Amino acid sequence: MKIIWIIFKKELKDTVRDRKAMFFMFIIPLLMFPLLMLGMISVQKYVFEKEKEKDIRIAYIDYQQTPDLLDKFDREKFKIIFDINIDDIESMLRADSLDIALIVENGFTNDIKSLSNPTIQLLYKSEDNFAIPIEKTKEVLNAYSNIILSERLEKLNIKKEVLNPFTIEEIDFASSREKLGKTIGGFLPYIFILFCFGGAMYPGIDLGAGEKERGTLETLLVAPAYYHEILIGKFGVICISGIVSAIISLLGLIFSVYGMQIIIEDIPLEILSLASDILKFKTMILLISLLIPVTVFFTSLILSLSIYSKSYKEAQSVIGPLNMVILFPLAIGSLVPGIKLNFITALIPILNIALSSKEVIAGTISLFLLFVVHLSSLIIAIISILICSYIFKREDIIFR
Amino acid sequence: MITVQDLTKIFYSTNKKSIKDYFTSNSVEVKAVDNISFECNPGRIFGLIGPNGAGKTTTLRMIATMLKPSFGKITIGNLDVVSNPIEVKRKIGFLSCNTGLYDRLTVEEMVKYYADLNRMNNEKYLERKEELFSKLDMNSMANRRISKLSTGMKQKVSIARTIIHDPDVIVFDEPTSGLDVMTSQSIIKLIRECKELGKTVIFSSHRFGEIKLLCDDLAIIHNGALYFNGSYKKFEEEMQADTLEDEFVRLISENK
Repeated sequence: MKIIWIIFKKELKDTVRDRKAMFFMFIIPLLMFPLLMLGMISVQKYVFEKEKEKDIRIAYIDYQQTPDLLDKFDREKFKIIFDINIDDIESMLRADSLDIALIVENGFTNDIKSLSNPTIQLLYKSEDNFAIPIEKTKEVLNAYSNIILSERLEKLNIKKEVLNPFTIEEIDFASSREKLGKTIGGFLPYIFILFCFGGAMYPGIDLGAGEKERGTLETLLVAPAYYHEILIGKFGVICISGIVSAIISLLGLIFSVYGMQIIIEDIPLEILSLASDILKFKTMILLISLLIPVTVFFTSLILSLSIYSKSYKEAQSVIGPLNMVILFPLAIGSLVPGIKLNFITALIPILNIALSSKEVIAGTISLFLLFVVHLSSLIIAIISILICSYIFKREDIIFR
Repeated sequence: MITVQDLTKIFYSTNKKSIKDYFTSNSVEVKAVDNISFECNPGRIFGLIGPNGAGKTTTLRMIATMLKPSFGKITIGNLDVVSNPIEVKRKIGFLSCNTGLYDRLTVEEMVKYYADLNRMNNEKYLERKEELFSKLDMNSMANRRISKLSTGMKQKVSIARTIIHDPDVIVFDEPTSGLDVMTSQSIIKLIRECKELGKTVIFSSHRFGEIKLLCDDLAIIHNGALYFNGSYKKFEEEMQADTLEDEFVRLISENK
């Protein structure tokens, strides 16, 4: 045990002094999400405000038929262009010299009077601009439509309530934490599992292939320590690096939610309460308990491949693409709707962690399934440790 | 004392040239060391000489417990290297031309790490450290990171790491290969001092000057087999060529 502690302490010191490993373990997870989120939100907010202030350029064809609708457009917001050839509309919309074209059907006023259903065509190019022009135009048209409807009902002596035979009253028992947890919680495993792998990757490569390349592994193998003592010492440091990196990424994300308040005053209270819920001791402990076996699995995988590799470079080229392999079950668990945590999915590595952490964040995790996830992860972790230990004891691999 | 008896090491090489080879187990048996025996005695320097790929490093790695013999036996003192690896490792110091140092540790941390691994108590470590650091003129660099040191300085740290626990047996695997004259000299000095202190010293080398200068006993190894095993004096007496280099080439060529 003493030898394991000596090796662990030394490997930890060596890793902490490795700037590259520290950068991937601490700096990127801590700063990436705050910077990414704050940057995205600031830019989005700026563009949104700018779009909101912009005049909506609307081509109004056959406006003479609907003078009362024309009056409904606020001229401060809408710049109405009257004399446009109908054949030029498409090219103008594509060239962004027009936001919307409004074409009123011939005989519109007479059709309205005869209680018919004439058409108003809205032509636009839907892409960015936050759909502000189309939304604003629809608002005007809907208001106009409501006025006509009220007039018709009055004329026919029909009460408005006739149109709504009954009222639907929705009572949703899902708390805001549950609803948000399932949505945001789907995204969180993505972050911490990927950062867990990333955080373990650099120390893993350095303490395996790096040592092999520098010749330090050879001298360590001559020191009076059993192979398993050396392996456990290294394993511990790589595991801790992965877990620390994952926790830091999670904290970085949560704190960036709080940081957003500086830019956005009206962050929904539900999001802020969810952020503080995740920070609660129980949630954190549950998330870390899910993270530990998956980190052990990652560590075994990384260390096995690292020891197998002849050089740091070879290890990087072998381990790097594993990110994509991990991404696949994560993507299924986090993004595909309808995939839920059940007895079968609780047995699938990585996917089970993604699904169960989603449930933990939403506060809806079943104790039985949590136990199954832990048990299956533990079994996989033990198998991966045994494989790693077998590889580390193989002299033809160590001295490959 | 090191006793090597009928030592053989077989590697299984899988020469994978095509994808098909990855699905077949056509491994080739390679005898890196083939039934060799020799003895290294305390207070004497034993030289293991041979061309590249002769089996020198494999033999030394088996002595240092890094590799397990396929057949045969190695004992250090009365300890078998296979059944008592940890006890054997405590008696051994291993130095190669590759310094094998951790760049991000300081000199003192590096040496202390190996002292701790050898379970030296703090009092004994401090005493030994002072002795070695003074002898190797390392006091001024004790707190410097290894990455900041020159090759010569690194070699000194490597020497200190190798002998901090005062081992009875010291294994030098081509210790001067690729080093400048000054650094090589410090290694040669160390090998001599080890002999004077009554240590068992085994070293492999390509440099015939060093062999002549240092060796009491000699073994010539080629393709894993020994072609000569005896005292350096005996080797000189039996020489048929004019120089050591020529005799070495003659022996190797005759036995190809």
